[in-house]
Amino acid sequence: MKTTLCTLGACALASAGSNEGRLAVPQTAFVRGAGGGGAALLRHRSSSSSSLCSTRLQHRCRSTRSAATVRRSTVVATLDLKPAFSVYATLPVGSRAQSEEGVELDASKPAPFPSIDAFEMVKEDLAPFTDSIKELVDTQHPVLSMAAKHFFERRHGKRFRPTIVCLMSRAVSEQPYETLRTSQQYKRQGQLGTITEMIHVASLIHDDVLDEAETRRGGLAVHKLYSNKVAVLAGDYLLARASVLLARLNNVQVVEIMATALDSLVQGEIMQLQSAPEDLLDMSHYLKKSYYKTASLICSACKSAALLGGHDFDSDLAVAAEEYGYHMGLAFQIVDDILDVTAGAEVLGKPAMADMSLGLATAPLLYAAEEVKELRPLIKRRFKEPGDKEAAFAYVLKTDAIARSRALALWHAQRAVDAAARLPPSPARQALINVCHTVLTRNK
Amino acid sequence: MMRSTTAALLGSLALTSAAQGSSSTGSNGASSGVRSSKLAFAKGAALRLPRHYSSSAAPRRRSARRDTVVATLDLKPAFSVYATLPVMSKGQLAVGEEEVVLDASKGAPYPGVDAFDMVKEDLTPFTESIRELVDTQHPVLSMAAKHFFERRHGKRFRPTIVCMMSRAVSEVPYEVLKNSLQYKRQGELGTITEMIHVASLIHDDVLDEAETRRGGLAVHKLYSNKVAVLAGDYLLARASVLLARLNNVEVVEIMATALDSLVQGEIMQLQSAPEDLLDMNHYLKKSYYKTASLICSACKSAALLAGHDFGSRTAIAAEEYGYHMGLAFQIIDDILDVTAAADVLGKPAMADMSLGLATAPLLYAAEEVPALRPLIKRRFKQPGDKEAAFAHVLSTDALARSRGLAQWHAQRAVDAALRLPPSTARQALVNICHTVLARKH
Repeated sequence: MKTTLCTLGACALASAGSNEGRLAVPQTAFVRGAGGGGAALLRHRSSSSSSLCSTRLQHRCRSTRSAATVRRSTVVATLDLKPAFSVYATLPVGSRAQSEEGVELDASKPAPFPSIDAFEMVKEDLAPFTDSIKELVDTQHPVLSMAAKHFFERRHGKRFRPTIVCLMSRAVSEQPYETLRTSQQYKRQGQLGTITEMIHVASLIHDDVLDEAETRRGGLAVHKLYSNKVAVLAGDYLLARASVLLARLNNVQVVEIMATALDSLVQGEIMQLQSAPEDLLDMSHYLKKSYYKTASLICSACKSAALLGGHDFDSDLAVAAEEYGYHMGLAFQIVDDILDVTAGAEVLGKPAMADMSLGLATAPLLYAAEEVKELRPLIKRRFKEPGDKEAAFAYVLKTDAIARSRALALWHAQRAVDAAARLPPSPARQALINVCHTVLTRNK
Repeated sequence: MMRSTTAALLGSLALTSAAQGSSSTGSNGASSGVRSSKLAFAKGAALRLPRHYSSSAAPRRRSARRDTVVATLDLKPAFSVYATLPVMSKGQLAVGEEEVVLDASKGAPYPGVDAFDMVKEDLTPFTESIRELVDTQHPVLSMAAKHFFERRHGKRFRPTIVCMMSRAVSEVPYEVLKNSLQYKRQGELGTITEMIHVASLIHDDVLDEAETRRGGLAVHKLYSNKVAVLAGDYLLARASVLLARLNNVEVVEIMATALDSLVQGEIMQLQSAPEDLLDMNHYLKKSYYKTASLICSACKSAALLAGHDFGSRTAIAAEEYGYHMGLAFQIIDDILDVTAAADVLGKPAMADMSLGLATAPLLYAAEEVPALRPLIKRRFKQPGDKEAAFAHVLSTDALARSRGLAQWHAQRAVDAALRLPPSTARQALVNICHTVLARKH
């Protein structure tokens, strides 16, 4: 059972197109390599730089960790924090993990557990959330608190990340909810949700400085209302406050996990800011970036919730929680990218094809580029020339790229469901599964 | 002063003007509840501030410090614990210790001890590990970061302090210490401190739009705001990871609070009520947040990593050293901004005024020259304001008084250092205070 994960890293980035390698014994539901089930994978483009990716990733592992990359069975001061990206699968492989209930997600059907409303379940527990955030950002500095409040209130978002953390906290609990909810443990897990949201919002605010986004979720981007100065400061403020709260959780492992998530967020932005043109065509590169930018925070928060719940770093539960967050986060991002192409601006709250405007090529475009060679130069030059975006959009529609992107999202969402199924049965677990369905079926 | 004399007295008098000679023994206003606190913490008290403008915005009170270290540390900002303005009483000296009086016009107290030389070998891996750490394979970012590290004339001041403090609080001799895991971790702490510092400078440059910074073009002018924000975020994130790996929750919380203070300082600087701009307390609080907080947090953390308790004499002495030395450093920096010419300083002269900031020399001058006050309140916005302000400063004894303030803080730092066990490192820390006072750029 002590399948070492070190081998996974090397294979995780291998192209699905090749048939080498065997499937691992998936008791831990980890997938080794892209080998088996090759047929399903022929359609994923292999990149010549994928091996470069894995080399780079390993190099990064080496340089950031003085110790070996072998995961230790005991938790010691130095955690093996190989990024989940190099542990869990990114591209579909043939076999599925065994799950108890065998819940099959289907975006065309209703949620698997119709009577469970995830967001309703956590509403009461999250109510203090907004208040404490408001209080926290009440710096007596009119500009800053206005900026932060503005951000928190104008967002349409359902406080997605705190919801996930809250549900996961319940799902990994060995006590019934009635007992759990008044415990110190649950309180700390709630703090974790707050911290996660603060990190997320801080990165969005800084993102806006970077991206010069005109609108963000229906409200003017913070920095347009004020200035770069205030945006940088507001983001820094949230990050600093989050760091202090994180320290007060008094759990060194959680601190390290969340610090690494913050590091990943920045890495993702860095990747986005500047990539070699050939990387822009690489699906692995895109998924790695999506991991860094979106999934890393979610899966780190899920894992941390499990740790705060008293589970060991290597325990089945903690690993299942992490895997859930990882796959669900990727599914979320892929669907987001699909919507960017398909939805109109008024629905999304931000300009349509915003990604292309930023020069980013996402899943639909990458799939289309596999079949339409003409699209590749457009991607490489980041849709800079006039007419590029419209032409790219047309190419995408000509192929089955959207459908394939949906399938990729579905695959990841299903993996998340399978991971959730490894948690003990509970309404919270059902809610987590429903969330995967919601992620798939959102149209904005 | 006896060891058991608590610093509680001091805090309550901290804001009393020295010039008034109000409290010859310094004990008047503090009669209420001087705690026999081993923790040497001070209670706030009645303030009489004839010559220093008092602000209506006093620091918020926090709850009393707990005796035992529990999960929730009492992290009252050092600003509300230690003195900011001179009081008549001197800092506590350890019993039987020599008294070292700093004199900027004389040589360093320990002529044979060169602090920067002492740590040079220990810091050599520093630049390497930073470079490796920022080797993100992203040409723009690594270039920006390296650029910053190498172009700076700075002597890697903060890592030097951390290294020296680590030696000074050690109970084992240096020969033994230098190979220990403890010392390695303390070295990491120095790296972390410098990363946080540089990150804040880079973000500062986005905020301040400084044209030059320490002799190299400000990072963001060479590249863009995007990259500057990212570069700062990157350093902060890396620092957070390294900090977590120190595996010490207290240190994590202390340094996280220091980061919080840095941001608070910037916030204060970005927007203050005009009347606050005239307030010496406000200026010192901001100086604490922006400069001293990081240094004193790092000093305290070094002591904790050496195994000292949060409330121990050694840890407190380390913190107090960092606090006072940090403030002295900043005050001198502010004096130089007014007095030194651009070519010496590596940044434009009167840069602070250009940013609308009123520092110690200006505040002292404003006490005597009412005509200066409106200029300060409008942040020197109008043409000719800076020059006029400069002239006003020169027409008073403001510079001398500012030096006196810096001197006082540096001396307090020395007194705190002398409460550490005798060692060469301790001497070096004392010398550093002298260096801070005597620097010309």
